[in-house]
Amino acid sequence: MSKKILKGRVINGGKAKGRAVVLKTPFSFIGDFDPATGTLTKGHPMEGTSIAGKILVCPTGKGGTVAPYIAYIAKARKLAPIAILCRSVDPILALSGLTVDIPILDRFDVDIISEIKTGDELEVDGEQGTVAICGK
Amino acid sequence: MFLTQEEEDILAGKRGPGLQKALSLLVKYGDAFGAERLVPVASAHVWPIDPYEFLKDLTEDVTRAGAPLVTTHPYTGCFDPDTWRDMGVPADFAMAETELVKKRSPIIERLNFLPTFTCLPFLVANFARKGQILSWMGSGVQIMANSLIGARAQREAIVSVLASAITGKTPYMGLLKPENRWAQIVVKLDGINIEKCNEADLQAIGYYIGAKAGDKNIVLEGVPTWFSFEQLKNLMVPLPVSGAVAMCHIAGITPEAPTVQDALGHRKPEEEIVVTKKEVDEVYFEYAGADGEPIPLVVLGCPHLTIGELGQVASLIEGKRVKSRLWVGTAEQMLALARRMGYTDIIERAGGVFARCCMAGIPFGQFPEGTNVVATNSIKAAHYISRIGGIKTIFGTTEDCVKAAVAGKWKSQA
Repeated sequence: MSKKILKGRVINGGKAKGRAVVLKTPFSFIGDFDPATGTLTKGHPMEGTSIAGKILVCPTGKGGTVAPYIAYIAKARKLAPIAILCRSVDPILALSGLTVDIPILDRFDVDIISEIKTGDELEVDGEQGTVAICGK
Repeated sequence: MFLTQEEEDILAGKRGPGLQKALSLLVKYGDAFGAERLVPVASAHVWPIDPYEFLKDLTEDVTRAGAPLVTTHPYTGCFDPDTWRDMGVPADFAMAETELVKKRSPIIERLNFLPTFTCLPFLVANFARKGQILSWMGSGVQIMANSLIGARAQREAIVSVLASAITGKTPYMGLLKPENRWAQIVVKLDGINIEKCNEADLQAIGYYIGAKAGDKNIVLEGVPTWFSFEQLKNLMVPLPVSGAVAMCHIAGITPEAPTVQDALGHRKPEEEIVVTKKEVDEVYFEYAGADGEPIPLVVLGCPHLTIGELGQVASLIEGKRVKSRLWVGTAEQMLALARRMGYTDIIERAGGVFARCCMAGIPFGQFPEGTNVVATNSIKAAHYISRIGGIKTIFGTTEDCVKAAVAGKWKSQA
């Protein structure tokens, strides 16, 4: 299967390879995410879905300012996502990603929320600013 | 971004590893959002419980704060070093937290951070002014600084505010720039008499608007200019909980917005949001309690209670005794004033416990055994406790919550 390459803007560099979890709504590490299990919390439309070791794809961030700490403790437990891709990242989600130093990209040439499907195998290149969709 | 010679030197490590790390984080963050330069901050508001290793790294060889004034946020995770026993928090958890507090405190003292431990620093230690550039954590205090004071606070988080406290700088971007502060969305109330709304109604309105407005700046029509600080706080604090709003213009209140047209920068709004009673009822429904439902814990004070609100709680609870646990979040400085007024004695005699903790962040600690439901007068606390803690939360007025604490069970208003 041929790879589809998406081009975006780099917020934080680095490389990651893994499966995507695509959220339709803005995400916050505080409120939407349980750092004890690496899963989305009760009340979230995708409650129970694990984002640990996954590439998180979401429209943008939201919510409280303690969020980077939650990302930090999740990373210490190896339960954090390995990259974040957004339509347009907000400062708090960007700072969460910077705190745990994972690749963050946004503002792609296509709408990533419809282009990428949960379970897609992705290669994120935070040096080139590209995401390759390698298939299911 | 453009850096001064002094900033280049710091980035090159000539002023020590802590400053270098802190500045490099701010440069990376600023670059990501297209900031052209760094600007000095008038003050910073930081988290007192940053992970120790992180705090140690960023402050290595730093002898004093770079920001002229630094205040501290509440403890997060149902913990107050003085009152955790009365709160009923498990001892092993509280002892471990106490050790961490001891470990961090030499750093916090060396940098001269003020031990305010409150989410409302402008009420106790920092009179921010119009046009000042702030680096404050706390989504509630950010929106209030922007919208009530006309100071400039970016939506940022614990890591950048610490870096700003250390370096005294922040990237010039987002809401710090006047041109990014205009309202994009007009919000109207339809069939809601806002003058008759109680503290819970106002929060429910804010919570609905936040979810609809996302990260846009809004102008909220129909709010009387005589509204009190507490009423405005109740409207604004939920906006960045369900959403990410950090600028809520109210004509005649927001210093930059004498009129709705001024708030919009004399441009056409991108969108209009209308709030009716139906949307407010839906918020109540989401956090409704069943009649007679046992309530092990009642939590007040998210954000921290003001002196007026402490007086209200005292008058509601005077001469009564709680069956549930009752935690009251407020600043130590406010508590001193409440003690003079006699409120503290009344609330403590009724069995209430004061805590300098963040009542929205309590699930990051350990609840007293058997805490399966929490009732609160804060939609923000209800939102975060239910999501982070997986615990059922019930939202109501301060009076509903005090009555529930006294009865040990919820009384449905329906």
